[in-house]
Amino acid sequence: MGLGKAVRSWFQVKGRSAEHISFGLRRLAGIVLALYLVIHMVDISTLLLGREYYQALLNLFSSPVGLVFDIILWILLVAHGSLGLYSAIVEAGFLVDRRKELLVAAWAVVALFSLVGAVVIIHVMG
Amino acid sequence: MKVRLIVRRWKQGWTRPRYDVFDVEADPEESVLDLIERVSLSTDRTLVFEHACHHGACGACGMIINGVERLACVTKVGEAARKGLLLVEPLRGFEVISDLAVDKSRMFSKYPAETQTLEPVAASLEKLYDCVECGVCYSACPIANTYGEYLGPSVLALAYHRALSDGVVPGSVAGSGGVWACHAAFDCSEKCPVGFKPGEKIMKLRRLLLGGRVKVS
Amino acid sequence: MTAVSKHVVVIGGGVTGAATAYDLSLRGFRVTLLERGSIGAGTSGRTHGLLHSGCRYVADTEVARECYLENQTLRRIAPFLFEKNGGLFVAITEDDLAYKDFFLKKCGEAGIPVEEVEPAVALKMEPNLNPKLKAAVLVPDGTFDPLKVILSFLASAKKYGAVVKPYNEVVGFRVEGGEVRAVRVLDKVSLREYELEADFFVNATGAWANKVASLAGLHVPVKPSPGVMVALDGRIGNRVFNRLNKPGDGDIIIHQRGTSVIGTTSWIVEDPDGVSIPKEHVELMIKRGSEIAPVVSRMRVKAVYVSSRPLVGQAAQTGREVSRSFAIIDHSREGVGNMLSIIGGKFVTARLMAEKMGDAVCERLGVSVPSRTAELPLAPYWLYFS
Repeated sequence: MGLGKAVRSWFQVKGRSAEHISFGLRRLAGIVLALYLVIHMVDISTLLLGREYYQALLNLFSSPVGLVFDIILWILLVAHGSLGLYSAIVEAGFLVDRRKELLVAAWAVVALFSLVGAVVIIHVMG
Repeated sequence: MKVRLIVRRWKQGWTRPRYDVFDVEADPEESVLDLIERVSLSTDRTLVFEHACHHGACGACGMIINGVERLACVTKVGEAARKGLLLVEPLRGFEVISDLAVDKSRMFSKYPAETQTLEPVAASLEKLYDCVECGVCYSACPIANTYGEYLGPSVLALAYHRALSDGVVPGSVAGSGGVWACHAAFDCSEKCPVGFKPGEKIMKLRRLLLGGRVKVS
Repeated sequence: MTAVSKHVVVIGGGVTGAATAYDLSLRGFRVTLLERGSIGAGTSGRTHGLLHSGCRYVADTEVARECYLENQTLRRIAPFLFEKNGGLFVAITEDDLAYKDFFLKKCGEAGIPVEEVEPAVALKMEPNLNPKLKAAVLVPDGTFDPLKVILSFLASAKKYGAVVKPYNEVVGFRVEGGEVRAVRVLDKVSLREYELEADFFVNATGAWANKVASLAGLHVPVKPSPGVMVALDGRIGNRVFNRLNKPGDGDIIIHQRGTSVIGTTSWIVEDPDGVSIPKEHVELMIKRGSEIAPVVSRMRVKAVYVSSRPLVGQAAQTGREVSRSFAIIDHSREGVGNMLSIIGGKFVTARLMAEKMGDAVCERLGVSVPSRTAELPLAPYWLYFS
């Protein structure tokens, strides 16, 4: 299967069901979080270069732009986790015939935790 | 009603597809397949499309109509058209032979030799499985679209039925292209024109395999 | 003289062409099948899928017996293709009831095993039947998915070396010295036109047989006869529902997979392409279908479609009476010695039609290999795709 063809099929949204789009978002969130993990390990290692460089990075991350990124990352984490839990349940063959209700519940969890998390981030860090 | 039928055309040797526009008069109650057939007979005999039974029982006319996988013969023009526009494209997940016809051998070649076609419905009564083998589930499936060795939703769903009736499934079902390659997108079950629920059956087959209730041949 | 060196081109990818390609390739001929559309795009793909017991045609004992024997043969060579649940002929009106004795007598004469059942028993077997039914007879009908049957014949033909080319339309014939030398073909997949030479040509295009033959300046006395079918969303029974009476409009409901199909009507047209569906026929099907099974009037119509039977016209007196239900047209009377056309028949007699055509081709080419399609199991349809 051509790589180009495969990647292009990921971005096919028109006509896909809510189920398919949830799957796509879960995948995308996972990829972004994995990339973030790598970036995080890189930024922590700046400590090796000296305290000032690390502090400069921390200042950047607590800036308003940094907080927005934090909120986005939090939402992606919650989405990946909640949809991942949905996937873990149905992929083991449980509640398969109630999957629509389970998916709705998973998204409700995403909405709730995203809201709470965003509020906390802004309140504590802002 | 006035309909603008846009058909994705592709012939062997073309480097990219072409979208042909046909402005036609259509009855909202007629099927998209009827419309395509009429256009092919009156306007362009080189239009290649697959069809046979015209009543949703054989699976030949699966295609993408305005972005959604459907069986063209049971999709009404009035219901499918968006502001009089009908865009028809071939199914994803398969090689295109030409225009709207695709090569379904990636699906059929995975059928094990002992494939059952009939299921019992009562004492001495039988029925062909509801699955019409249209390939819509392959087009909808994100795994089938990216992983050529995936056995696919319908083949795995039929394997589930075999597991229930015979207690055994072929080795490929438990292998890398089998039930474990599915990632619970469930678009197959959403798009299946006969409600065969392949996604659910794949997960249920997993439980049978995990619980040791089915042998792998 | 072995068949292997002879190339036969079969035109038409419906059940007749597919079965003929199988019969000929099994005898050792090199076969190429050409179909202008997809496999089963014509009449036989659209049949409502009745594996005839023959009882519908009991008035003509020979035709009925032929149907029944082929029904048995198909069940034997490809049991996996058929829902073998039998059928019921039900009498709804007094007129229907009056037909019963004649019906039972003729079934007996044709050698078709039927069994009268009490209305109450019939209703227990099939709860969706009209509760007011007056009589019921159990017959050995069956149902099938037409495309898969055609593909099974083709998979079997391919096993013996046949080459199958859908989307390849015959657009002309090269006739020289009383023989067809080649057909001119348009490959719609590549938009390339090419010539295909062969030793013999079989025109198995059914309702289109005259349209195709006229490209060679020949004539086939076929009368395309469309009929409307109405497919309902839902399976309302397991056995075929037939109206106990002379064959008429809307007298059958066939269940296959999750669909029930009411059929059919009939009229004659000149051109089997572009037949439009008269709305009154649809209403008639639903009305007549409800007489057999009242639930019909409450069901959603999934699809309405039409396909043209290849009826044999009066002029088909060729002296080649292979059967009363189908005819092989010998074009040597028009000056072309290596082409035969075949028309008429029912889906269920396709294998027999192919056998007779195979015999005719063999006779013409001086080959003597018998048909073996009745003995060997058919290959499963999914092998067509490998």
